[in-house]
Amino acid sequence: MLKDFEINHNRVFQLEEENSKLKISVQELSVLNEIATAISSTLAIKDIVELIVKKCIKHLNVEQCAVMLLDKKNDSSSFNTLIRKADESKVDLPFRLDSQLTGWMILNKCPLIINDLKNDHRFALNYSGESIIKSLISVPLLMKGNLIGILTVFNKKNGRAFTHNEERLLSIIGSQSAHVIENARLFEDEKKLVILQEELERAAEIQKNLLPAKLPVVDGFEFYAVNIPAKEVGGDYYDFININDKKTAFCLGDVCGKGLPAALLMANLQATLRSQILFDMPCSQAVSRSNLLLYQSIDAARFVTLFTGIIDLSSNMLKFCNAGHNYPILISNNGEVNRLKEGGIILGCLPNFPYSEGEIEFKNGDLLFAFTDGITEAMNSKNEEYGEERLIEELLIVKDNSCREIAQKILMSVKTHIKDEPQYDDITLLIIKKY
Amino acid sequence: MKINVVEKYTAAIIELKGDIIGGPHNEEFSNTLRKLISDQKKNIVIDLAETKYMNSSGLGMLISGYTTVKNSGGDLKLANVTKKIESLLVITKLSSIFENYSTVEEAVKSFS
Repeated sequence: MLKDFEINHNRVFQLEEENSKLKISVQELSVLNEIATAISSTLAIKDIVELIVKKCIKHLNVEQCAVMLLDKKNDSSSFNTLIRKADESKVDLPFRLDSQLTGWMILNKCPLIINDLKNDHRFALNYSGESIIKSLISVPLLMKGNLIGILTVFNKKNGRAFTHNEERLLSIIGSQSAHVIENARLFEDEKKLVILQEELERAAEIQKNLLPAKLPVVDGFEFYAVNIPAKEVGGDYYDFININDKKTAFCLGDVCGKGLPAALLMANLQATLRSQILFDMPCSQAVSRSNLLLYQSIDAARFVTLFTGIIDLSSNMLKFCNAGHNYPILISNNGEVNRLKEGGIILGCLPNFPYSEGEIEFKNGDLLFAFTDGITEAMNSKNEEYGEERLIEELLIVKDNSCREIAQKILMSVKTHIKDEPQYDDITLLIIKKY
Repeated sequence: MKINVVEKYTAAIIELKGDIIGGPHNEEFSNTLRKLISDQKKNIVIDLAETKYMNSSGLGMLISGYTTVKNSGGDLKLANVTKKIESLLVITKLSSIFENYSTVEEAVKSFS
C-alpha cells in the first residue's frame, strides 16, 4: 500500500516535472513565435532591434535589454549601433562594461551568463557606488560564424538569478535575430546604393551640361570635340569660350584621378578658367592666374593638365599655353607634324610658376588635334598602349576628312586596338581645322 | 608598390618598387617622408629603378612628397627614372622641379 503510494507519488512528481518542462517549452515557443512574427513584419533595422529589445524585456522579465551592432565599415570602432531599453528606472550601462563585454564576445562568440557580476573575475569593473548591473545574459549575433552584434539582458527582476533555460532561449532569439538584422542591413545598404547611383546619374547630367552645348561657328574654321567618360562622371574637360567677335578660346584638360573627385575638381577648373579667359588677357596670364587659384583650393597630391588656346580670328594666329598636357598635334596641309609644347608645369602644384605662351599661324588645311591620355594610353589585352606614334600615323591618313569624321575614325581605330578590353580612362578629343 | 628606406652618407634613399598608382600607398609614402623629416633626414632620393608604371595619382603622390620635403627645408631628388616615367615628367614639365639623376650615387653626391 505504502509502496503503491510511493510509486504513485513518484509518478505524479515525474508528471508534474514533465508538465512544467512542457509548459516552459510552450512558453518559449510562443515567445519565439511572437518575436518572429513581429520582426518579420518590418524591414527597418531600427524597428527590428527595438522590437527584439522590447520583447526580451517582457518575456525574460528583466530590467534592461541592449542590442549592439558591429559597424562593418570601421573595424576599429567596433560597435556603433546601440539600442537599449530599460523597463523601470533608467540605469546607464557603465562604459567599461560595454567595452569589456564586446571585447569578451569578439573573442569567445558564445553565450555568457553571469549572476554575480561584482565578483566575476572576467570583468574588472571599477565604478564607485553600488553596482547597478548585478546579473546578465549576453549572446552573440552570428552570421556564418561572423559576429555582427551582441544581444544582452540585464538584471533579472525580483532579485532572482538567470537560469540556463533563459540562456538557451536568449541564444535562440539571438540566432533568429541575427538573420533578420542582417537581411534588414543588406536591404538598407542596397537602398543607399540605389540613392547613390541616382545621385551619380544626376551628377553626370550636370557635368554633361557643363561642357559646351554647341560648337563655335566661325567663318573659315571647323571645331569639334567629344568626351567619353570611363565612369558616369569624369575628370576630362574641354571648353569653347567666345571672348568677343574677334577671339575664340578653347581648352582641353585632364584632372588627375577619375570619377566623382575628379569631376568636382573639373567643375572648379572650368569656373576658374572661364572667369579668367573672359578678361581677354594674354593666354599665359589667364593660365598663371588659374594656376594660383587652383593651387589655393586643392590639396598637394592633385593637379590638372591643361592646354589652352586663343584664336585671333582676324589674323588666324593661335596663342597657346600648354600646362603639362599631352602635346597637341598640329598637322599642316603638306603633312608636316608639329607638337605644341610651350607653356609650363601642370596646374595646382607651384603657386607662382611663370607660364609662357607659344604662337602659330593657322594656314588653310591645318589640323589641330588635342587629346587626353585616355586615347594614347588605351590598352589592349596584351598591355600594349595605343600610343602617340600610332595616333600620328592614323591622323596622317584621315587628316583630309571633316573634324567630326576624323574624331570618329580615330575613336574607331582606338576601339579596334583595345578590342574587348574595357575603357579604363576618360577619352576626350578636340579638333580644329582651318579652311 | 613596396617602400624601402636605406641611408647612404648624408642622404636617405627611398626605394619605390612596383607600380606607383597612389591611392592606399599615398599614406605609407607620406608617413615615411614625415618620419625621415622628423629625424632631421631631409636629403631625400627617390630610387625609381624598379618602377615601370606610374599613373596620375602616383605622380600626385610624388608631387605632394616634394612639397612636404621642400616645406621642411629639405630636398627631394629622383634617381634611375625609366624612359616612360621620364617622358611623363617632361610632358608635365615636372622635370623643371624634380632633379633627376641616372644613379643613386650621383643623386647622393649632388647634396654635398
